[in-house]
Amino acid sequence: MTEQSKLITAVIDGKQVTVAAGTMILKAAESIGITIPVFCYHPRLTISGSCRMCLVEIEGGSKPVTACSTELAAGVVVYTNTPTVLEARREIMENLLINHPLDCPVCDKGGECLLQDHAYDWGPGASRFTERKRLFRKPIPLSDRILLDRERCILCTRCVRFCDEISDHRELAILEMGGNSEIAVAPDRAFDSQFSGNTVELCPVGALTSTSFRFKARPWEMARLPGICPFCGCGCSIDIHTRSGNIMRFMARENPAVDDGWLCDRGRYGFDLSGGSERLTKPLVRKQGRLVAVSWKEAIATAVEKLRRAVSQYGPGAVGGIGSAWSSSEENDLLQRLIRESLESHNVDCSLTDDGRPAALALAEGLGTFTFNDIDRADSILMIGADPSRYQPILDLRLKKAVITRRTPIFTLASTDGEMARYARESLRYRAGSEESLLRLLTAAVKKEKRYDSFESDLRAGGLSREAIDRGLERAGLGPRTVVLVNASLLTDDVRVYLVKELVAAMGAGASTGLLFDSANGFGARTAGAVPGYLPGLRPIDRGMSGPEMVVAAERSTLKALYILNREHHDSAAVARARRGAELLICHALFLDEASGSGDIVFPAASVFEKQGTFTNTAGLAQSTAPVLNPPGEARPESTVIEEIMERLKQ
Amino acid sequence: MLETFKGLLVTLRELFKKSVTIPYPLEKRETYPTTRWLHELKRYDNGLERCIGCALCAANCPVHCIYVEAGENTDEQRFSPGERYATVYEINMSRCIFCGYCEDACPTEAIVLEKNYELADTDRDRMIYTKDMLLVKGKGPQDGG
Amino acid sequence: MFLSPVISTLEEHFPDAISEPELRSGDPWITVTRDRLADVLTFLKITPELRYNLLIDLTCIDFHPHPSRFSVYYYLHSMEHERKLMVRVRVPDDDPTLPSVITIYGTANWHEREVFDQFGISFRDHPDLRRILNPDHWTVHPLRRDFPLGGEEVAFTHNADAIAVQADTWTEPVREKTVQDYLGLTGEVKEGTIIINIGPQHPSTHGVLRVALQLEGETVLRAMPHVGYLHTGIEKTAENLTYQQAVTVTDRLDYVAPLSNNLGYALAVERLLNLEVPPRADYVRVILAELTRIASHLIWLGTHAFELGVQSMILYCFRERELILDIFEELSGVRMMTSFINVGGVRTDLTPQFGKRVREFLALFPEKLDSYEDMLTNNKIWLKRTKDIGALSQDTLIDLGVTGPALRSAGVAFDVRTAYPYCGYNNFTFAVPTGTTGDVYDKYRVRMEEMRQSLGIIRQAMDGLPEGPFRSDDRKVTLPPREEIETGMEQLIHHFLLVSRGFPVPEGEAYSLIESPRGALGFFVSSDGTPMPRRVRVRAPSFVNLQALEPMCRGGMIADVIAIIAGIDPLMGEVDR
Repeated sequence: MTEQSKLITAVIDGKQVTVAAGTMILKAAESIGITIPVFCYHPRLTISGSCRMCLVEIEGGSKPVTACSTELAAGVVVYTNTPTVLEARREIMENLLINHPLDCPVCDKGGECLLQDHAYDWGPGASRFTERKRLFRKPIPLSDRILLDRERCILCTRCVRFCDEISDHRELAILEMGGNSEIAVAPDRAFDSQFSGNTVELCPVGALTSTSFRFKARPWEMARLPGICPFCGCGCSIDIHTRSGNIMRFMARENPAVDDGWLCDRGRYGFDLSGGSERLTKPLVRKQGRLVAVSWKEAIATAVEKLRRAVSQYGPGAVGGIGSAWSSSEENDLLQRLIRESLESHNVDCSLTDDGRPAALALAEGLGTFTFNDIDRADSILMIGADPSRYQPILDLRLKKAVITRRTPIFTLASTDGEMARYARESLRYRAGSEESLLRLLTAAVKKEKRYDSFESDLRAGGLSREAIDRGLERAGLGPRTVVLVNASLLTDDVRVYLVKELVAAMGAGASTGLLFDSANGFGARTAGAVPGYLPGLRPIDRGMSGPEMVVAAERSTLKALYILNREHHDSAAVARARRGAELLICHALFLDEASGSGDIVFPAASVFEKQGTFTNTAGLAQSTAPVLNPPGEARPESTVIEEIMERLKQ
Repeated sequence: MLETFKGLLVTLRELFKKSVTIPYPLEKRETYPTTRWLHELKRYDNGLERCIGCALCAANCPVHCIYVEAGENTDEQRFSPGERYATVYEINMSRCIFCGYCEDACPTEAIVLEKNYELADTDRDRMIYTKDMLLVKGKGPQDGG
Repeated sequence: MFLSPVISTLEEHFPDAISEPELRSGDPWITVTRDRLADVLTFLKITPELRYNLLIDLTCIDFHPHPSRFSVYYYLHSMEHERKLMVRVRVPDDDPTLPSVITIYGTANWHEREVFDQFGISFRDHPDLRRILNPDHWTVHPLRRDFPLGGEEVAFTHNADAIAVQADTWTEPVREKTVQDYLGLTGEVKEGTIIINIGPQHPSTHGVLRVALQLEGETVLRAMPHVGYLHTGIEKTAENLTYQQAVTVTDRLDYVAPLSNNLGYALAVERLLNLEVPPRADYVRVILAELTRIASHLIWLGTHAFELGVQSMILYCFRERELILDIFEELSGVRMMTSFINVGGVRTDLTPQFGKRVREFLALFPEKLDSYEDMLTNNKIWLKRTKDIGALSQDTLIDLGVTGPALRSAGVAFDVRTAYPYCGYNNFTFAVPTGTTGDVYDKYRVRMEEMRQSLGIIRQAMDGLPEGPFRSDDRKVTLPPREEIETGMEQLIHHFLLVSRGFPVPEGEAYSLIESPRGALGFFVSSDGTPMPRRVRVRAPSFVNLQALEPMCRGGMIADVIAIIAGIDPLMGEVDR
């Protein structure tokens, strides 16, 4: 709903400012470089106007007004620096500090606290308060991740508004009234939202703190480097804070194209990859049945020799390589080059349990075009087999935003219960396994064709009727400006890919389509050619064995050598099966466990934070990361190892 | 000539005056209440450590020679009053300039520069003083109390 | 808008070259275009109503990433009219050059070399534009804002192993040394002469000073001082500390007079903050500054005499200096690097013993001074070694920028304490001793008398010491009293932010000039609005005075070189920073 906004002009602090009509004074001032202090205001939440810190004077006005909630009227003269304004700020600060506990030295927020900063900039230098401050028991765990300190809370309600407006989980509320007001988890609820960590970042004081970061470091002790979260297909922008060679925490780094400045808890708190285990720091080679630590020179030489022997003895078809949808595009590219160019085999995939090829075919057929911004503008959204709240949480927030703010109709069909059900205009369940029938019937419904046949009965067996689908289509209003989101793992074969293509075509030109990958680089692994039948850039090539096929072949000893990247992200049972028959198992791993410990050559890998890499998120956005830590011991990034092996194999 | 004698008279007089040097280490010169040398982490009278691991000392230090890591007190294992204490507290004595800024910064008067100036050593690593070397004796969990 | 007659005169004569006129702390500041710089400075020097004959300082500030990146400053003083003027020239990044003003002010020699060394600005027609503080073979300009601070990580148990001993990878290229390496770009080989080095490791050079002599027999033809052996990057370090933390590095400049440096720096920052310190703080600062002056002169006297053969003097002087250091220790806890005078006042109030100890010293010291004079003042050998040695004319000394006892010994009664009083020095009555010839003997007499005058100032200050706070009560700058942070929320917050982040200082520049024992000590502090300074420039009197070494030594004997160095009393900590 856009209308040509009228522009109005006014004066703030003697400077002229021209903004769209309806702009609040706070934003107008910001646009000409004037900062007004706030507590309760946040650009991505609704306006509260409760803290009164942003009071400004309007010429001719009877009393100061809140800049955050007062529209700039044409021709007004606003002052943000008069004695009245400064006095107001002083008094607000004094008021807020009356009951504030003397916690600064023990409070995690110290050094990055809005209350401290505003108290210094605008408040008095000494306290006049001689009474007793109110006391609460503290800290109170709101969940196993978030702690509440009621004494520090200044009741800005940012946390409550976040839970109400953004995550829509509505767990937090203000109980009691007036001087007894306190933030609490709403009755009969638990603060177990996967977005709870955002409230800690939002909180302007140290009232909400995370158990993950508790007492770990002071803000000035940490180095801050930009990064991309590697824990799901969203690829949110993050700031990685490190101290003494360890990651202390992630914080949001707003990227409007992806995350709107929010993070999910899985990503935010998932940076400790070790879980207490020791990292591999030296290359290991199996000698006389035992893994022995050796030099890099020896490990690489052994790998080169054994790979060469495998190919010369059994032919290139007996070797295979597995990249990873959780490794960078560069690593996947190098892996496929090792297998295809150096070893002349076509057995490349990025998973041991699923065939990576169909999703690549889908991308090649143009089914991966959507962007997160399309969600904001969509007329309607069709989701098939997707549960973003579990696998792409920030996308889930984006979808909720569309529903809450624009009432975008969503039609979701899934085989499991998902959170989208509550927001969708129509939410239907189908039986897992009946995806092909579903796609055909959907297409037919879109085309308004009658098709009473086996597909319909297949669906009906799972409780899904044609009528329900028709109703859903009508209620959601699907058409050319619909965004179609399909769970990538749904695409188990080429047939399904073409069915999706047909469905999208049926909806008309302009429909934006997307595959939802749960992995950080599912998209990029495929465009890097780590799938059977595709070179980088999705150029077709001879198709070799898929990952599952390689597992079977290895078990049967028809595949002799298997080279695995990123061992931690591959199914250990599959590795074990392959190990049973394969003669040569080489893997890059962070830790030594049963699976990596079964290898013949184990290279100590660098974690995603210890190397450079490009990751393409599920919306096709390629983002590069730089290392923030050094790999421990002699661990090396996979890319340098593969490059060296390839170099040696040439000789 | 007379002038030369005048000068020699001065030195002659000085020859018979009491020597102002003291035979260190047999005798040690006095220190003052304010004298700043080796740090000590103090305790309250009840034995609890004063240090709450706030790291303000490290922040104020102009040569960044203090390293602090903080941890949570539990009722079973309580090191300091309140929620927070220092799990790791180190001062690199070869970097310290004894300016006393850490003492100024400490909100609980935990870190105090005391009088021990005999800090010379031959090994650089031994100049890194850890918490057990800085904490005054007491009966906290650190000492098995 | 009329600001000052000086600015008006300049605007009249150079209408297109003068801009940005303003008054800062009473001094007029103007900006001059590059092309007219030499003309304007010449005009300022020779015009009778102006007569700015002393170039106090020539320095640079890097405003990166501002497009007009460098600003070079010329701080001028007129002996006749007793007023100062700051001339500023903007130098762009893409053409970092300026005309040298060495022909107008001889003191510009080393200043321009330093600006070239640290910032990379070339001065056209400078006869000897070499690096002065950093090693000769370096190719970088470290004081530029985009040059990293560097340094080795501090070792703790968790990273001590990882910190390898860092080798300096910038090894000097091995080559034959030439005469220019010894005597600068103006050095020439001469028939019948030899070139020898004094120092940098030498017991009599007052630190790591290297002097290259070109000798004809025992006669000195050239004496080129080489400095930089003690350069530790203090100015750059200060840019990476908060304003209050930077006080601790100022101790290490002129390290025999640490409180002097503290004071100069604190005054500059207080000027930027527009912060007034309470009267008691002023008096305490004066007492400490004068005690420091005596302590510094005692080192000068002891080492000077010792170097000329009077071996007992050094023990006597250090014995008396010990009393002063004891006073400092009793007051602040530290003998030398006290960091006691900081931004806002002094760190603690006077101890109960302080007054008694100072008065004991005041009672005891004059007699000691008498006995020193007995040994030296009319002693034939002393007179032979110091009379008529190293004398220069007043004009030569002023042209070389010499200040302090070295200048006053030639009869110029310029003392910053009386010319531009600070800290309430105008409340005290004291004489500014002067000499006549400027030789080493007169320098000795001037300094001896200065010590007596300092005793007088201390006595007056002790007698008139007001009660009251010892530091400013501006809570945005000074730490709150300790007992208040236990109950006051605002106080705790301010304490937390002041020790962790420091106080922000309004944008701008301020120059504070004080009379240190060695001459006019200047601190030029530039703030960018953050809690850490953009630039802390130290105008070290010894650095400037050392430029007079060569003219003083020329034509004399080798042995006189030692006496002349002692007479100048350089302190390498502030020369090299």
